[in-house]
Amino acid sequence: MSVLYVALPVALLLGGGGLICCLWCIRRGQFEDLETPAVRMLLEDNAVSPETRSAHSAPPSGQHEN
Amino acid sequence: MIAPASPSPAAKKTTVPCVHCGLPSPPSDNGPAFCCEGCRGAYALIHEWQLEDYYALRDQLGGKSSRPDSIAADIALLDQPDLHGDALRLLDDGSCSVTLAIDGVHCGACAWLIERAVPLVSGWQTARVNLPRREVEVTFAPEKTRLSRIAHTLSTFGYRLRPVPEAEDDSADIADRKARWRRLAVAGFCFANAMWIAIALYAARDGAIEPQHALYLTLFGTALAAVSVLGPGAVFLRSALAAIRTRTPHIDLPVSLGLIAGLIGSLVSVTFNVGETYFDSLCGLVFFLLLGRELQARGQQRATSAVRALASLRPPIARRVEGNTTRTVRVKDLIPGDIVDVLPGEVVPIDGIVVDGNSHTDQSILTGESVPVAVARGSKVAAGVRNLERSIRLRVEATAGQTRVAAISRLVEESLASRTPLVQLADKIGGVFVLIILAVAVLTFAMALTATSTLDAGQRAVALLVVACPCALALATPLAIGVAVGRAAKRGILIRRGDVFERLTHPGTVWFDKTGTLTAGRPTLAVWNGTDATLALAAAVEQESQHPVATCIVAAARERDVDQWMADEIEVRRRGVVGEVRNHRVAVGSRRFLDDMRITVPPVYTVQGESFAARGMTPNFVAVDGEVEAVFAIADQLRPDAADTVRRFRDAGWNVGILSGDHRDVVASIASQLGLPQGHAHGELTPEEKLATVRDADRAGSVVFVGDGVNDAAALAAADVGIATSGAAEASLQAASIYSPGPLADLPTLLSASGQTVRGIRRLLAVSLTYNICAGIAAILGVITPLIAAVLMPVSSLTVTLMAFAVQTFPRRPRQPVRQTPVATSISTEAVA
Repeated sequence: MSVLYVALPVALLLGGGGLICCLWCIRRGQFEDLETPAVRMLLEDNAVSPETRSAHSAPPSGQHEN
Repeated sequence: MIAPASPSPAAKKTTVPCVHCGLPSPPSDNGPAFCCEGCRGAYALIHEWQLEDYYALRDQLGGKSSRPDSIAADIALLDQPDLHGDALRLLDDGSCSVTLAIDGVHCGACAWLIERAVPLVSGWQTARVNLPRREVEVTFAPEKTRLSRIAHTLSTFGYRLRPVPEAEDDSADIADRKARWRRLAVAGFCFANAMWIAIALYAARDGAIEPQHALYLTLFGTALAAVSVLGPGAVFLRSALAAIRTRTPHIDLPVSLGLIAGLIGSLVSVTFNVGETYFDSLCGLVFFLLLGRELQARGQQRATSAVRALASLRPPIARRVEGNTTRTVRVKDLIPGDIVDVLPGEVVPIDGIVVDGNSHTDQSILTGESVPVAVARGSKVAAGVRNLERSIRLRVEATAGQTRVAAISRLVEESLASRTPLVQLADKIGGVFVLIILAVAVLTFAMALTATSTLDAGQRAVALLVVACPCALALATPLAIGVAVGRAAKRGILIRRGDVFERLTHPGTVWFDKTGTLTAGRPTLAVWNGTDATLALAAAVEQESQHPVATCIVAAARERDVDQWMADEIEVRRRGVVGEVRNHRVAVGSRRFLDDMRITVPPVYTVQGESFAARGMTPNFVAVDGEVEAVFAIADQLRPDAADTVRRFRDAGWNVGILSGDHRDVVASIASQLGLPQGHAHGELTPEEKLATVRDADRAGSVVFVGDGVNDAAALAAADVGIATSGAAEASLQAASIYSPGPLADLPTLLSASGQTVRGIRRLLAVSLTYNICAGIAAILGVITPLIAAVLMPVSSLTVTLMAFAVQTFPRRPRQPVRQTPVATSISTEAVA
């Protein structure tokens, strides 16, 4: 008995698994916005926190709150 | 490419672009220049939080920033949960998640900035921007902060948060889109797997595979084909059935027949072990056809999203009067009969009739003119209009979906879906084509039967059915038009009807309106022939009027620093204004106005007036106590690209003319400045006369009218192609086919784009015809098997589709370092692009 008889259905099952994931993603709306994620990963995470505020320029009066 | 708009005399000193938003600003001696405190604040904040990468990213992506302009009242309203409806959710860990619409986001840099700005407000947890929809999803801890604080912070950067506008019509689109993608995913899966199985089978031809293995492979392949044809491919079968039922031929008909025949043939082959199997071709066919349809749908979607962005300019909230109190509600919850209050300074949220109060409204967003319109009990007001003086109370007359904005969006969408004459012709030809193909297929089968076996005859017929593809007609022509419309929309030109391209390639007559179309629409006081005292009197009377002439006078008076006096009993009439100042009766207006008031104009002033007119400036007079004491000239600069545009139209074979309500001599002078021959410019026309001229024009070529969206609505509608260059998009598109608020130079670009589009479509038709004839003959002669046919057909379909996209129209606008929008004066029209 050739390995083909097993390999073929298995290959199709694996592919089918991928297809099901794809369909699930479509249903959850992950393909709705393709522009923003591409831009989001452009720059590295500059962790911004209150401690990293520089004394660069004085904050405009009352413009933001913390 | 475009010279900066000629500056008014006051702005002749050099300006530099603001570092944040790019608008002209006074140069600064120390450090970067800003146009306003808002930009300065945004810049400082960005640097303080070490987000300077924003500027680099923005420049790289070619985006731009908006001027910060926080409107405190609207921000505070965001805290009301009713406002958001379904968009506000309470999450399991107690935090709030709300989706908001956001203005001012132009590119990825803004998205980056907003998402990085989260730590600025404690309690703000996440922000996730959706660029194409211009929305942001914000989560925050309600016990630590309020939504208004987050909104306020974002407004210092120049982004304005609003509740999400009515989005109920989206759900059907989204469902459609998901269905399309699901089909494509399944078809892709079947195709890919069928192909690798088929490759193994190609080796079987040399006998290199044992027959039972070959059979095994073939079984699976055929099963995949069946899944593909009956699953995602069913959409073609259903449409073919519908076509049969309604007896209208459709290209899905031969496709479906080919698919069914191919599938049956494959099943027969597999069962009886005879003949060819076509499962790879079938899967390929289904996949490429679906791909073609997806590309087409995308092209159309791009155009509609541009219009949707416009629609989101309406306020989503309103103050509904309930008993003795007012409650802020979403506009989409209003029903006709509700009573709504609109405070001064606010925008009217919905169409209605005034039941109480009187005020003036600024209809510039609807009509492009900021001459305030008085409203009182019984007056109709439309959504989008700004209330100026006092609060008014309205009775709602339409639902949110029925407002003109909603109607306009639908209009554009419908037009994109509608069949233009060329597309209708294509459909008809496609229908005839289909019938011919079916007939020829039957004939081929019959004739081949006499020559070869049934199987071979069947193969030839199937090959013909599969290979014949009127795709250029049914698919690519609307696609090419859709792509052109979408590209135009990206440029800021909204096209309501696809047939404008064909019409613009038949040069006929083009009429331009003068004020605001050929001229910049920013009049200034060019010459004042009178004393300062008279100027002061005139300015006093014109204080309250919003008419362009009035604003010029008031501005000039302020510049010359004359005395400021108060006027009483001011009467604003159509062609002038009259009032009492310091016991003098002062009248300011045109010649006709004075004639109506029976004030004679002495010859010395008349002559002056005429000389102004001859130089292209509108003369007006000031009469004090019945005696003319001054004459002045109002000049409205020609747009810098007006002369060039006119020339390019003429070079393209168009007859160019001007229709205007302004002084005859002024119009004549403008015409000669633009290089138009005598007799082509008509002045002092009423709107009815303009309409008549357009309507009665010679129809040998297309008749085009270029003017203001609402003031010239009748003429725009009467022309073959109406191009609105000012006025708000919504109202303009009611009458005009094209809305082009950008520089006048866009119009010749539109002309050449039309030519390119039409030529491109002709090329597509030619290519498709050639292909069909050659491939059809090959199929009839049995030269190509259904396998090859099934490969050829989607390849041709794809080629034609790609050619449609490759039509070079609307090159990207070269990036300008300084935004060329005119600095807002109280009389300019804000172009919405």
